[in-house]
Amino acid sequence: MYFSKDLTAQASVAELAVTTDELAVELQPDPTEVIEETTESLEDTAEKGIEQVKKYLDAGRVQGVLKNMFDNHHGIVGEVQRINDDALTIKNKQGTTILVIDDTTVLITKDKTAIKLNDIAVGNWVTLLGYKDGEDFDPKVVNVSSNSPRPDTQLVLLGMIKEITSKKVTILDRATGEERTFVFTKSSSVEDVSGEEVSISDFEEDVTVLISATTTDETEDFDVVTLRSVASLDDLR
Amino acid sequence: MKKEVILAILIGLGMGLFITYGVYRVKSSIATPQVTDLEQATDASPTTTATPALIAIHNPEHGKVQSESTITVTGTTTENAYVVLFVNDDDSISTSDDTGNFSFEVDLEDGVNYITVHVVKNDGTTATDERIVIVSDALDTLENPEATESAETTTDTTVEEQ
Repeated sequence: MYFSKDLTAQASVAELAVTTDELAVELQPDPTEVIEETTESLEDTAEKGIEQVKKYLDAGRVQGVLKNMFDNHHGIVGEVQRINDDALTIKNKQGTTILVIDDTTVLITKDKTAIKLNDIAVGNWVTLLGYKDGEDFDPKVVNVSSNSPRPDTQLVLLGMIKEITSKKVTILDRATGEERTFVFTKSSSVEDVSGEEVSISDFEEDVTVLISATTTDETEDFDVVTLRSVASLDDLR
Repeated sequence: MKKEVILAILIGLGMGLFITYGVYRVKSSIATPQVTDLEQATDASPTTTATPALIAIHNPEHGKVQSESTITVTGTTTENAYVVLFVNDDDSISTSDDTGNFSFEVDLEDGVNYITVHVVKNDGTTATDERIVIVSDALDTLENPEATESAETTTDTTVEEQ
């Protein structure tokens, strides 16, 4: 009895083993399929990589990157303080600089005409173009002008309108608490918070504004460049 | 003998008291300024609450020479501050984002361009920084005169064809 049971059990185990082997064979992936899938995956990855490389190898982009990497073009602007036989002393916001200039190799022009170093006068403004290597500057071109290229003196402030007419606006500076008057010119821009052009009459007292202004003479009132409301004028009405 | 011992003890006690008093005085003198510093800090706190506006221009670098007539000006300042950018005498207005960054794409003139950035915080305090950018192809012409001549010839031809 026991012997018979044992035989049956052994037969069942053998069947089970066969079934498991068959299952294992069924579950085992087909090598051809695996190769195909892997190839497809690799092709996808390669295509994406090539696209990325193409993107970075775009002619304009490469040119731009190379230019930035090797661009040592540099310019200096300043007012002439002194002229020697082989040097120019200029002054600007960064300080005073003495630049050695060989006018046989450096192109010096004024009003598009070539001139010599000694033709430059004290008080002239010069724009020097050349190459920068660390702290060293090697000028190659010098453009001379009688006038300063500096823009007018600028002022930007945030404040509240105390008084406004078609010609002037007086603003209480939020930072200093002082009142300043600005003059409207033909080129003044008057804007709502969005930057949309509006009329001066749309503004009234107590409106908070951002104002940018310039002047050639700091003893006079500044000219309005842009007067912009910092909140919607429609909402304020 | 007994008198001498008593005298020595008294001298020792006197010296001990003198040293202890000295140490006490030194400690007091060190402690007093600390209190004063704290008081000064407390007194100063109302005036130091308003931090000044700060600005850093990342691009362009000062003295940049380029042949292109546009440039992107980028920088960082206080978050949500007003940013007014001047190229010479023309202005553009924007605001910095929540992280304080700002960016402008602006047109440049031939020659020297003074790019001045003014930032204004909500409390009205301001900060300004400036860059000079020169639009010129003079250096390119020096480096590669043939290319420039060729380009000029092409332009001339185009004009003639028109």
